[in-house]
Order: sequence, then structure tokens, then C-alpha cells
Amino acid sequence: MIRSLALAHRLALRNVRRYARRSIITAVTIWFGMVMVVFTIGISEGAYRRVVDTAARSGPGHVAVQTPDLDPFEPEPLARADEAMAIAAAIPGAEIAPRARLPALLSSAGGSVNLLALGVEPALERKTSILSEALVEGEWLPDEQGRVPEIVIGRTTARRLDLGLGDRAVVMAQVDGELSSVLLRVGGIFALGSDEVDSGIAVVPIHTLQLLLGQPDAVHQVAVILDDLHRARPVQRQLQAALPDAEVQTWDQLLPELGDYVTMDRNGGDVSFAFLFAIVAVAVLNAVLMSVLERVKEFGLMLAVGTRPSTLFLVVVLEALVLSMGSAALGAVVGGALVLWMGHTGVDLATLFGMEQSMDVAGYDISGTIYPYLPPLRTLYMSAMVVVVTVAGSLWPAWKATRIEPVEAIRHD
Amino acid sequence: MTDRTEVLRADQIWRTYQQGVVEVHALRGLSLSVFQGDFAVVAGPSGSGKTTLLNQFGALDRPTRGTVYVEGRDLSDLSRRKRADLRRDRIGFVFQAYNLVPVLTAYENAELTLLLQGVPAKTRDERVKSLLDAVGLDGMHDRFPRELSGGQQQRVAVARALAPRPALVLADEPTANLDSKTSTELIEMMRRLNDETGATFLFSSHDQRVIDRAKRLVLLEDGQVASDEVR
Repeated sequence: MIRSLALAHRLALRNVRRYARRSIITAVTIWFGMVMVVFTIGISEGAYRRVVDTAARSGPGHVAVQTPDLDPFEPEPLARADEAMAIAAAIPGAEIAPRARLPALLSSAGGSVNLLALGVEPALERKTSILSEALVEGEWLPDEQGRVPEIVIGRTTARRLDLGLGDRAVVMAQVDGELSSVLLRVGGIFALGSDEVDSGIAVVPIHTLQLLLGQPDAVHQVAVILDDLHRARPVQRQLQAALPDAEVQTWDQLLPELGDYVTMDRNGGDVSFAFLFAIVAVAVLNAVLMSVLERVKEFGLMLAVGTRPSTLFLVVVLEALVLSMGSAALGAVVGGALVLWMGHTGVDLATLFGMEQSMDVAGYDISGTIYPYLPPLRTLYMSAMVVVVTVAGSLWPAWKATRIEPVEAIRHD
Repeated sequence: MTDRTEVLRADQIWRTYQQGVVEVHALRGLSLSVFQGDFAVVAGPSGSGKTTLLNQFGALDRPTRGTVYVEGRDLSDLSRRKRADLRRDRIGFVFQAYNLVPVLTAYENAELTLLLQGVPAKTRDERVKSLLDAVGLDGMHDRFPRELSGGQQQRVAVARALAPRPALVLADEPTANLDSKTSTELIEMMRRLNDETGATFLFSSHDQRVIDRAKRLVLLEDGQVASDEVR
């Protein structure tokens, strides 16, 4: 078996080299398929990263430390929040933002809406939250509050309550069975593009919210923003081990709808890849079959002089394997380099696909420019799939080669 | 003649082809033995069954009826793989239309069967080079078939057939596509190899030059042996 394999490998390499034209055509087909796969993965993963990052930065962070089983309507403060913040802040590449949360009613002369009042440290939040970058009017919360504290609201909320910069609004909430309220001045209006965020969140200084709660040091959640989204899981495990009494969750646990959307969309993408693989398989099958049919005489002759059918089978399959491995590797390198470059410069979807300047993904509006990203394991898996598919495409032609009758083949022209 | 070792034996073999609704009998109960060291020609008019007979002896085809033996082995029950091994190890082929693998050089074509046998590289190299030189292809080892004349290609085919030192060389009309001078040179070369190595040669041919140089002439007519003459 090993001898047959070595011989078949040797013959296959020689055939690939000497049937250069056919080899190049087949290789280019596989190569192009691989570049397309890598490029598509890069674009879609870049879009996922963008939307997840947007959602995480406008919400609970990539990782959040909070009270176990946090009730969104009656949140309990996190015990030993200072310790949690100190441990999280010590993680390299991590920024932290302590937050207090309170479901509240925001009222103005124009009406009232239910939303989540998010108490933040303005300075820390400026570094971590995407909301501070999404201001369309006014300014972010100042570090020092004046006599009437400020509030930053979403554009949808502003429209619904007919609020503008400098207008006053009241945040009202039920705390320990009692109604409690605070008067605030609209200092800024943000527009993230996500209706859920633009109408569902209002940002106030954490100190103001703590006063409203009657809990001066209450922190319900410590949001951890990471320099790389893919570090979320290991950081979660690290924090959970260090803070056994707290609950540490990753973005997909905190935003399950978004996690499900990404998983579902990725699975949908896999179906598209399956079609692409099928096209590559058919192209390879066609190329290898043509190669077998063109070489009936050669294969018949090889069988006539004593080549075992199994060796001939291996020769044909190995030719495809050699071509596919080389082409897939080259495709991964070229596609990877393309994605790397685009990941650096960004891709304007408007230019690439003729789309609008921004698009809605899972309820979040992302700008027209995304930064493609290539997860190494997924790329490796897809490269392996291209090789497997190519080899699968060569099996039937290879079997056909073994069925050639030498007597007929050597008379074949 | 019967004292010598029998290399090939056809025992009442029939080979029938179906052409539409008509059955064509290429061989009709033919029996023939070929012995060690024979330099025999199977001659006869077109359609007499020469090539069909060689295909039976070469384990390239199966008889419709009857039995073929190669070195005493009944070929009837051999699998495709075992038949391939038999051809690789015991039989050398020279076909009519100088069948060489087009992407292999003269050297690589001659080396092919040795590669299949797993002969060590050094032995392969020595044997292939000496054979190519012996058939007059010194200095042409690296040429591809398209860079060789018909006669030169047929010499490569002879070198390939002899490289694994087979018990038997089967040559189907080896001079059919060659000019007179090249045909004579080729047949003389094979005769010399027969004398020197004792390898058994069985030709099919209606080339008078081949027939004249044969040590044994088997005449076929209508798929049967019409005469068998040892010279």
C-alpha cells in the first residue's frame, strides 16, 4: 500500500507538472473558489464584529460582571463592585465602565416613555461607549455636573418627547415601593441607528442615578470592553474564576438575540458556502473527468503494462489532491492577504456592493465601512473543506479510469 | 519441442464478439503452446485472430470459452489486480502504434514497469540506461515521444518491455508503422535479444521480414491454427 501510494504520488506530481495547461486551469478554478470563500468569510466576519462591537459598546460590553441572575426590572447592586472593577481593570487590553441601571419613566411636556436609565461615569464611558461617538447634537455628559444634572437621550426618544438640547425632563422610577424622581437637562442627543437603543436608553451620571436609587455606591454592572472581541470567552472565564460570587457573561449571553442572529447568519453563510463548494466540486469533477477521458489511451497503456487499478485510482485522486492543496493554500494566502489589507483600510460597502452608506444588521445600524476579519480556525476549516470537496470531485473520474479496458484503450485515438 | 518449458498455452479457446445482433467468432476453439526461448510469429490475414490471440496470452482480454495458461497459471479466475500483477512481472508488451506515455521521456517510459515493480533506483537506472543504449537510443534518454521518430519510439517500447526481464514478450504487429529499414533493424534487435537473454518472443505480424526471421511460424486462419512450423 505504501509503495503504491509513493508510486502514485510520484506519477501524480509528474502528471501535474507535465500536463501544465490543464493543471493551471484546474488550479485556477480551485484557487478562485478559495479566494471567494476567504473573502466572503472576511466580509461577513467583519460585519459581525462591527455589529457585535456596536451592540456591546452601546450596551453591556463584551463581557459584563453583574449580580447573579440580574433582574432587569429590579436590579440588585453588585456586591464588592470595587474589587470587581479593580480585577477587570487589571486585564491587559481591557477598559471598564461601571454602570447603574434603573427601569424608569422619562417625562417631558411632550409626553413620557419607558426606558432604561443608565448611570455611567462620564469620563470612563467616553473611552468605552460608542454612544459618546454617536452624538448628533450637544455634548457628552460633563465630568462635573451642575445644579441640574444632564441627560443624554436617543434621537427617537427626543422626537417622541419633543425634547431638544437644554430642555428639561424628569426621570421617575419606583424605588422600594416609593416613587422617586429627578429633574435633568438634555445635554446631548445620540443616534446609533438601532431603534432599540435610540428609544430605549437614556444616559445619566451614575451619581445622579445612585441618588435616585437611594444607594450611593450602587453599581449593577461592570462593562468590560476588550481590544479584541474574540478574547471575550477567555476573559469571561478568567473573571468568573476570580469573582465566584458574581455572574460574568459574554456579549452573546448578555444580548442573546444578537448572539442567535450571528449564529443563524453564520449558518446561513455556511449554506452559501456549501453551494460554492458544490460548484467547485462540479468544476473539478468536470476538469478531472475531461482529463481522464483525454488520457484513456495513456491510462489503458498503464493498465496494460501492469499498473494496478488501485494505483491508477490513487494517481488520479492524488493529482486532484496535489492541485487542490496547492491552490487552496495559495487561495487562502491571497484571500487572506486581501482581507488583511481590507481589514486595515476598511471596505466601503457602498462602493463594493452599491449599497447605501449604512445598513441595518440585527437591529443595529452599521456604517458603510466595515473592516474584514479572518478567524484563523474558520479559514483553516474552510481550506480543508475545499481540499475535501476537490478530492471528492475526483473520486468518480478516478474510478472511471480504473474501469478502462486496456485492449480498447490502446487502440483509442 | 515438448521437452522445453511451456510458457503459454491456449486450450480450446473461443473469443466471440457481439456486433449488433451478429456474433463474430475471432477465435474458434484455438489451442496453441509457446515454449521458453521461442521467437515465434503468429501470421495470417486480417481478421484471422492474431491480435485477439495475443490479447488472450497477455491477460488483456478473457476468452469466451476455453482456458489460457501463462507459466502454468490458469488466467480464468484471476482478478483485475492479479492480472495486472501478472502483466507487470511476467509479460512485456510491444504494441502496434508505439504506445508510449506522452508526458514521460524515453527513459521514464522504459522505467515505468520497474517503478511499478518497486525495483530500487540504482538497479532501475542501470537497467534502463543499458537497455536504451542496447536498442540504439544512446543520447536520446531525455526525449519525449513526440521528439522521437516512429522507429525510435518502438525501440523505447521494446526497452520498456524488456526492462522488467519478463518471461515473455508479446509484440502485436511491431513493424506495422515502420519503414522497411527500421523494421529490419528492430526485428534484428529483438532476435539478438532473444538469442542473448533467452526471453520468449511471440509476435503477431504479416510483415514478411518478421516472418522470415522467426524461428517458429504459426499460421492462423479463421480463428484457428492452420499450420505450426518450427524452423
